[in-house]
Amino acid sequence: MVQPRWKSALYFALFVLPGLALYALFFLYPFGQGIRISFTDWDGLTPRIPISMAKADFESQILNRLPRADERSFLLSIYHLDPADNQYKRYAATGLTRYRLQHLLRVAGFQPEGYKVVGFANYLRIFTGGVEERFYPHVFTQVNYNADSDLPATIPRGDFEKHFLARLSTPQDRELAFAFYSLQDDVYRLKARFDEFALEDRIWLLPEVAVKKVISSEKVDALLSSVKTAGLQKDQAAFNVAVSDFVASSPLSPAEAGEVKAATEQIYKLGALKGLLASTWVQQRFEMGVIGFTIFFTIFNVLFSNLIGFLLALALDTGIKSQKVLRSVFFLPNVLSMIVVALVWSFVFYNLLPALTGIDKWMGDPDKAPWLIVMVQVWQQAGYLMVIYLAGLSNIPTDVLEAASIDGTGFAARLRHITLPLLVPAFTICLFLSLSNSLKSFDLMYAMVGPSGYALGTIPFVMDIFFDAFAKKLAGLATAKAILLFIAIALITGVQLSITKRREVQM
Amino acid sequence: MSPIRRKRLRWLFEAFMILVAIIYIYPALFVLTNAVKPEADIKLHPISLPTTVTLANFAKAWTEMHFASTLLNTAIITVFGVAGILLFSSMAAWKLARTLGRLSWLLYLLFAFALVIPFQIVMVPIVSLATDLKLSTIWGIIPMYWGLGCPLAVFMYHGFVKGVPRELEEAAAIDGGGQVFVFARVVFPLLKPITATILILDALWLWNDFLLPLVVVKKGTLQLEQMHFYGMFLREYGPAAASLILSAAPIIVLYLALQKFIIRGIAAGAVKG
Repeated sequence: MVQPRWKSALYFALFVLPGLALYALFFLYPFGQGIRISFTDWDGLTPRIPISMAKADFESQILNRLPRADERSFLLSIYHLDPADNQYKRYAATGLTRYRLQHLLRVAGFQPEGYKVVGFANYLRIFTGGVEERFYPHVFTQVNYNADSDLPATIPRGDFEKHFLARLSTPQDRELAFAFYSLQDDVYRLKARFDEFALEDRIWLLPEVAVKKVISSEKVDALLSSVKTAGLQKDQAAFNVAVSDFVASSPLSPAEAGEVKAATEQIYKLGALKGLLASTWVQQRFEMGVIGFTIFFTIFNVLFSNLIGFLLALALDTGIKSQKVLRSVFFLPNVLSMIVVALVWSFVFYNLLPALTGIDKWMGDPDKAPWLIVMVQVWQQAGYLMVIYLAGLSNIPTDVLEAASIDGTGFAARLRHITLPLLVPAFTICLFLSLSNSLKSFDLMYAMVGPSGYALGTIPFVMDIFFDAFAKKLAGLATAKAILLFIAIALITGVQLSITKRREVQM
Repeated sequence: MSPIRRKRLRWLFEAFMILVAIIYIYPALFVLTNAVKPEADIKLHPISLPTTVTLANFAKAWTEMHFASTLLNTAIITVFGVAGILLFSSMAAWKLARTLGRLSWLLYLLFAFALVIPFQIVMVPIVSLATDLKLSTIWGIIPMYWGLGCPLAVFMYHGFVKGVPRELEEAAAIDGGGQVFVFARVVFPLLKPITATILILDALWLWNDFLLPLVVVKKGTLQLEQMHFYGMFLREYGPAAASLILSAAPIIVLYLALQKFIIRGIAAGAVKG
C-alpha cells in the first residue's frame, strides 16, 4: 500500500489511540499512582490538596514559602479566606488546575497530615514484622476460659484431661477439679449443687436475708464478692476475715453461722477453681496468618485442582459415550460467579452437611475452614483445568498410543512414557493459571467468611489488602502489600514457567 | 481380556463416571430442591425431595434483590463493556500488528505489561479516579472495563492478526477501500474466531466480576445484590436458596445453549492467554 507518510501515521493514531487512551487512563495512570501511594502513609481519605486550612497555618506552611508572585496569586485564586472561621477554603479544582496546585504544594514542601511521603517505611514495616501479628504465621496462646465468667457447664473430655488436669501440679488442685466436675457421657459436667447460683443461694435463702431481711443484700453482696476474690487469689486469710466479720456482725443462730461458713467455703473453692482454670486451661495454637494461609491455599489448590482436573480428563478421554454431557457437567461450576459458588457451598455447609453427618460446625471451625475453602475452589476450578487437559490429550496422536498398545505396552506405561511427556504444555498452562488464580483469589473468601476470616485464619493476601485499604484506612500500606504480591506472583510463575517449559518435548 | 468382559467393564466405568458427575454437581441440585421448599421443610428435611412446592421464596428473592433492574444493570455492563473491549482492542491490535517499527512494538509491550499486574495495585487509585471523574455508576464502570480489558484482548488479537495473510486487506485497499472500510468489512470478519473467544472470556468476566463493582459502584449488579441479599437473609434459608438459583439461572441457560462454543472458547483462551 502506498500512502503518504502522514496519512499512515494518522490512521495508526486513529486506530490505536482509543484503546491506548482508555488503557492509559484506567490502568497505567492508576498503576503509577499506586506506586506513588505505596511510598506514602495515605489513609485513603485525606485529600492531597487540603480543602480548608487555618489562616496562620496556610500562610506559614504554603503561601509564604512560594518564591514567585504569580504562584502566590494563582494559589489565592483557588483559596479564599473565609472571615467567619478565619480559614482558607478551596474552590473546586479539577484537571490542570489540580496538577498546578499539587506542583505548588511540592514547591512549598507541604504535605498534609495523613498523606505524607514516608519512603520505604511501608515496605520495611512488612518485612520487619511491623504490621499486625495475624499477618504472619505465629504461635499464640488461646485462653479457653475467662475468670470473670461463670464456670463452664461442660468441658470436653480431651480438653479437661489433657489441657487442664494433666497440668495441675498438686493433688489438692486435682481434688478441687474433681470436687466440681465429674465425667458423664464423655464430657466433664459441673455438678449441679456446685453451680455458682446454687452455692450463692445457700446464703441468699437464709431466713435472715430472704424473709426477715435483717441482713441487707448489700452486705451479702459484699461478702460474696470478697469471698470470690479471695478464692481467685487463693488468699485464705482474706477469706477468713471476710467470713468471720460477716458472722460476727450478723444476728445468726450457730447452725446458720455454720451453714454460712460451709457455703462460703465452697464459694471460696469455686473462686480458686476459676483462677486455676483461667491460668491453666490455655493452649498454644499455631496460626498460619495471612501469609501462611495464602501459601497453604495456593499449594493445596494447585495440587488438588490439577490432580482432579487431570484425572477427570483422563477418564473422559477413554472414549466413554457420555463424554460430552459429563464434560459440560464438570465444567458448569466454572461459568458461575465465585460469589454464587461460595454461597451455594455455604448453604451446603449450613444445611446439608450437619444433616448428613450430625456435626454442626463446618465453616465456624478453624480446623476445617481452610480445607473447606480449598475444596470449594477446587470444585470450581477443576472443570476448567479438565477442559485444557482434554484439549491436550486430544492433541496426542492416536497412532503413537495404538502402536504402543499393539506392542503390548500397558496403560500405566503408556501414561508414563507417552501421555505425560506429551502433555507437558498443558501442565505448563494449567499450573500457571492455577498458581496465579490462587494467589489472587478474593471473591470466594470474601463471600464465605468475610472479615470473620481473621478469627478463622482464612484471610488471603488480597483480602488483607482490601481490608487495609478500605476498612483500616491504610491505603499506603495496602498498596505496598499489593506491589509485593505482584513481585511474588511474577517470581513464582516465572520460576514455574521456566521449569515446565524446559520439559516440553517437540513432536 | 475377553471382549464381553471388556464391554462390561466399559459400562461399569460409564456408570461410575455418571455417578461421580451427579455427586459433583449435587451441591447445586441441593440448593435447587431446597429453593422450592417451605422454610420449615428446609430445617426438618433438608435432604429429601420437596413434598410441597412453593414459589414464595422466589417471589421474595425477586423483589428484595430488585431482580429485574439488577439483571438489566448487569446486562448493560456486560454488553457495552464487552462491545467496547472488542472494538477498541481489535482496532489497536490490528494496527499494532500490521505496523512495523519500534513505536508499535513498544506500544504492544506496554499493553502486554498489564497482564502480570494484579488488580490490587490499581485498586485504591482507581476508586479515587472514579470519584474524580464521577464514574461511580453502572454506566461509569463501563469505560473502566474498556481500559482494564484492553490488555488481554489486544494481546490475543495481536497474536491472531499475525497469522492472517495481508493479501486480502491489500487487495481491498487497492480496490479503493479506505482504512475504516477495510477494517470493518475485511479484517474484522476475518478475526471472528478470536473475537468469539475474547467475547466469551470477557462476557463471563464482566458478568461475574465482584471486586471492581464492589469498590466502585457498591450496589446494583447481580453479584453485589446477591452478596447483600444473602447476608440479610442468612437465617432464612428458603429465600437465600431461591436467590442463588435466580442469579445463576441466566448464565446457566446461556451456558446450556452455547456450551460447545463456551468450552471451546475458554480452552482456546487459556492456551493463547
